Amino acid sequence: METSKLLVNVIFYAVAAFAVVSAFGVALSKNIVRSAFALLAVLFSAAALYALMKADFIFAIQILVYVGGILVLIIFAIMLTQRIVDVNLSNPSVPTAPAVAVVICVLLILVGVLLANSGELPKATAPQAVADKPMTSVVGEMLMRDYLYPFEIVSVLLLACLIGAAFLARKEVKEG
Amino acid sequence: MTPDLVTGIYDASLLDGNILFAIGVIFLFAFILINFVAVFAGICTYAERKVAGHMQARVGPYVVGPHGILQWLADAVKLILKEDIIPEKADRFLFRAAPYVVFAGSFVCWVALPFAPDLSPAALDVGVLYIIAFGSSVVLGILMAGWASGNKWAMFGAMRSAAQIVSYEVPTGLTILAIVMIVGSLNMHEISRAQAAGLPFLGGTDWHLGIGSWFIFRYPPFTIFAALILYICALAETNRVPFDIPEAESELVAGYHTEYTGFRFSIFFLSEYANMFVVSAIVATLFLGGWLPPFGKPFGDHFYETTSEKTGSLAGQGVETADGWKLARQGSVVLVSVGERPKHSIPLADGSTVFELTESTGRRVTIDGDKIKVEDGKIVSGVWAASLFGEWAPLVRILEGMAWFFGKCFFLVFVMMWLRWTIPRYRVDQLMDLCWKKLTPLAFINLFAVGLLHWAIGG
Amino acid sequence: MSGVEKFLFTERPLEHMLVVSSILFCCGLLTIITRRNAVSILMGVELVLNAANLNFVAFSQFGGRGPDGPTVVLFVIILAAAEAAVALAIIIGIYQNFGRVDVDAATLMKE
Repeated sequence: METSKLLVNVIFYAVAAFAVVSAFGVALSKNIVRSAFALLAVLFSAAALYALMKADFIFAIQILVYVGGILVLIIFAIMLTQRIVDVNLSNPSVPTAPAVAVVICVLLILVGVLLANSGELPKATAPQAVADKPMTSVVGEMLMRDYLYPFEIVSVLLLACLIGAAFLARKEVKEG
Repeated sequence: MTPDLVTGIYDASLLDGNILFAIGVIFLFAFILINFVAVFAGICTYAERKVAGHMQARVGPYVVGPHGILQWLADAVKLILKEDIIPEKADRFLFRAAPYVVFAGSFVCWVALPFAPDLSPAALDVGVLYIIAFGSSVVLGILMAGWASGNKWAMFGAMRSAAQIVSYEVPTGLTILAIVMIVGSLNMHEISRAQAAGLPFLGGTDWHLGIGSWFIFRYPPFTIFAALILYICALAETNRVPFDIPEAESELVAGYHTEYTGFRFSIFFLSEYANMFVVSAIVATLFLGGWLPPFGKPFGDHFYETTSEKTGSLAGQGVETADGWKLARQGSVVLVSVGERPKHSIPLADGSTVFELTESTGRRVTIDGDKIKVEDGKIVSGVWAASLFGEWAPLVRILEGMAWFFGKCFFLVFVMMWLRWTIPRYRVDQLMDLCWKKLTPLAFINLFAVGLLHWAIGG
Repeated sequence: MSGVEKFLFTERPLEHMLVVSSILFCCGLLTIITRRNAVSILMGVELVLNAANLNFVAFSQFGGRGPDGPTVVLFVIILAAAEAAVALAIIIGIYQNFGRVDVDAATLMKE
């Protein structure tokens, strides 16, 4: 096999294995902070997979927003809702048999449907971003043309969520 | 020599053949870069103490080697030899992993920096966004370090530092957005290249004013404000004075790295200086021209210029256009764009050689005497090496670009050190007040004004 | 070797990506179902959203569906950020009022 294909395969399988192991860490870890950092590993792996799929803009945005924003928020929330002196913050997951059974069934259905219909999936084509324009400008133009309405709505929604979150999390000023 | 390792994995003509050779090349780049970062950080520690000394009218380290020049080696050896203590209440795995997450966040940004024209380990199309993104992932390493120490005060220091860094990313993003708006690309090399020419409001889009074409002087009051805001936010992102509440010695012992000793502590130190260089490099690239020299034409020749169409500004300078034929002097290096972006640069050897530009597109450059014809492409930029360099021209270009880039970055790092011993530090609430009530509105006004000016009188 | 090569990532990228995102989705589902801490449930939701994002980008890049994928992913990321902010604000409010963020214990309205 050519070197470049071998490299791509090796990188994909390594990153995918890391993502899956970390996802299990999120689901099954007894320590909530450890599961938060396992989520960090999953988000980094997902970003690596985006980069492997040549969606470089989404790779950067994932790190910027998800890792640098959402995950920091989650860790702050963990710190603020526990007594932070206690290092071993226990958070047992309760993997009762019905729950695990349901999840395994869902997984089997998803993968089964996928593999059964894999003949009808579109074939592998050359990834988009190589061809003409950088993905950033493609996404930007789509935001301004086809997705202008959702873009404006999302802006208003973000504003509403920011104001709402700041209001909800304020310290109550006791009156009287 | 433009190894773009992100997309280059797919069309890896550079790496075909041995898989071990391919992996070896990747590790070689990483090895060179990490050694450079380590040596740079080490010398920075020495430079900081010398600068501190001279600012305070004393000499600083003077004993270990002439003028104390080996002091940083002695410090490094001392730190490695110190006892490695892990506190009893610490979370062992995360305690060990945290310094490396912080260092990785800083180091990974180095691969997108434009060291010389088209020379970086990964000339990413989203370079600027990538650097901001991984700069903000340093926060998580800090939180990890603070929490895993098992120390309440380390945790507080980490949370303060995280809040500070996350807050100051907002003005950073806004000022970077102003510059990206002018250029239209997130690619660091494009941004540097766009500062090669022009002062549009004076009508001269092709004037090579050198320092006058840099973005810091592009729309005079507003881009200067943008540069200053970006520099101040850079100080805050790296926890330097006046924003070093998280590691202030008189406040929280040493903040989030209180419990770290020996080698692990030196990793934190290293990553702070690496981060300082990265943010200085962002300011240098976006506002001070990156690898461009401050005068227009080094060695009497154009260094880098852009043309827009077939009848470009290169007329009369040795490249003339007539029906798609372009002239070039012997020994020139020509960038040919296929589509919109420059893909490859090839040295022209002699007049009768035919070159294939890329294997995948098969565009051909035909040279006839001293004329070039490009099929289905257009000459975007031309570079002439000075005739006294001949075939060493690409190397000279790389060395000159690196010299200017490192000069600007080192100067900005020196100013950071200078400020440390000049101004007192901010209180936490003053720091947040500065960010949210002063810098962010200013950055918004800047963005708006730069956008307006660029639309009205931009090139 | 060519028999095995037909099933590797470079020959069937879409299926591999979809399998990975299915596994991530199911891990997220497991987290949501079996955890009691509200922040953990939020982490599970983030896992599910990431799996969906991987699907979008995979179909856009390898399934010839055009450049819509990354744009929709951008929207999903933005909405995930907004939702996480509001959810965490609510969780902090619950903590300030009740002292614990256990979802099994937050049954006050039932009485």
